[in-house]
Amino acid sequence: MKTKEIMINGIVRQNPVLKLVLGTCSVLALSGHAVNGLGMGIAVTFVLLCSNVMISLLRNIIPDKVRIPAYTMLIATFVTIVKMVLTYLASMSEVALGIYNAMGVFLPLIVVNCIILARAESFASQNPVLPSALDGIFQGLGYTLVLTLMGVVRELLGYGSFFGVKLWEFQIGFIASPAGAFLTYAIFIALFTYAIDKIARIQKEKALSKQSSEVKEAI
Amino acid sequence: MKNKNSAARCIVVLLVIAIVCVATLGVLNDVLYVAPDMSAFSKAMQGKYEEASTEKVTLTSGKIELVATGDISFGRKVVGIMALGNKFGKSDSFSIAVVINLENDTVVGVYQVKDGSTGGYTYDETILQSLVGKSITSDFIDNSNFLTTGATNSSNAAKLALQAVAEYYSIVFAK
Repeated sequence: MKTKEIMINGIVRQNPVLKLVLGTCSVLALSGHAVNGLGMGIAVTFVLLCSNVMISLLRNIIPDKVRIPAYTMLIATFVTIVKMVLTYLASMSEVALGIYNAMGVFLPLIVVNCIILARAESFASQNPVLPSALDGIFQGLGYTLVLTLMGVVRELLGYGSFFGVKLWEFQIGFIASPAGAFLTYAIFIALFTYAIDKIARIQKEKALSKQSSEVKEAI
Repeated sequence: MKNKNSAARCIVVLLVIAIVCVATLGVLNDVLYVAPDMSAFSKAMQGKYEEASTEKVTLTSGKIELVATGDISFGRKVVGIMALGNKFGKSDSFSIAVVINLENDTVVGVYQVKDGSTGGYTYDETILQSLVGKSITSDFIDNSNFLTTGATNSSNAAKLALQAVAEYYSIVFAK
């Protein structure tokens, strides 16, 4: 699989949040502020990258019968590393402490995040190290982009701020609430699906017109 | 025979992965270990504190988060106890750091680490200061009404945190 294809799959065609609708709990809970979304995105990307690399390296060693407990153990190790690093950073920086507190229970729950297990099972366990690492990076990037964008929109409308910087007093409290998270998520999925369909239609029309012009030329 | 071999292989692989993971985390824990924040005790009463081991004691009103021993002015030996009380009603948990004089069991300082008041209400922290000078083993447990404020749930949640400190001190430190 080519790098470009892995990249497009991770960010667009198989976007874990908007296309595959995986890891929804953390997306809804942590998209209230852009910085929280970005923090969670980076944490998930790190775990995805490391677990994909390790699982790909060990794919011929781990027996099929115990692959899920083995994957879970590896993923749990990387999640614990992320937690240790964040605790360390939180003791030095107020921003990191804020992100750490906001992540709360969702940080250890990365272990059972569907995106990570899905990529381990469907990609890393069947592909060499380099494509698996790229898959981890771009799937993580797809997740981070959506989470951060949703965070930006909800923070702007719900709190009138951008990455914690107050811009205006106007606020729509509903957008900052859990129900607002569902609404924002639905709008994002709708817009994403519309854009993807539109692009696919344009590409199809282009291909058809090209085909017909070739037929005409041949005649 | 083949089944036995495959089962043994499964166990060995899982064991090796577990051992490597534990070893990695052990090394990283040593590198990234962050000592617990003792500043809450200093905010309750200025002094020099050192983390002490937390005894495993079953408490009914909350759990102990951190215990420290320390020295304050005039060479007095104190113990600092940080407890997280149980949630009460609509209110969230309160976390409170209390510094107690080991010689006479009296409270020398209190600091509210986390205010878990019912939404829209803030617990009046100055009320906690009325605890200073009281005996943690008798005065507080006998009569804690002086901690009551406008919101019943928040008052009771704050009491639970203090109750946890009193319970722990009575079991572990009281003579």
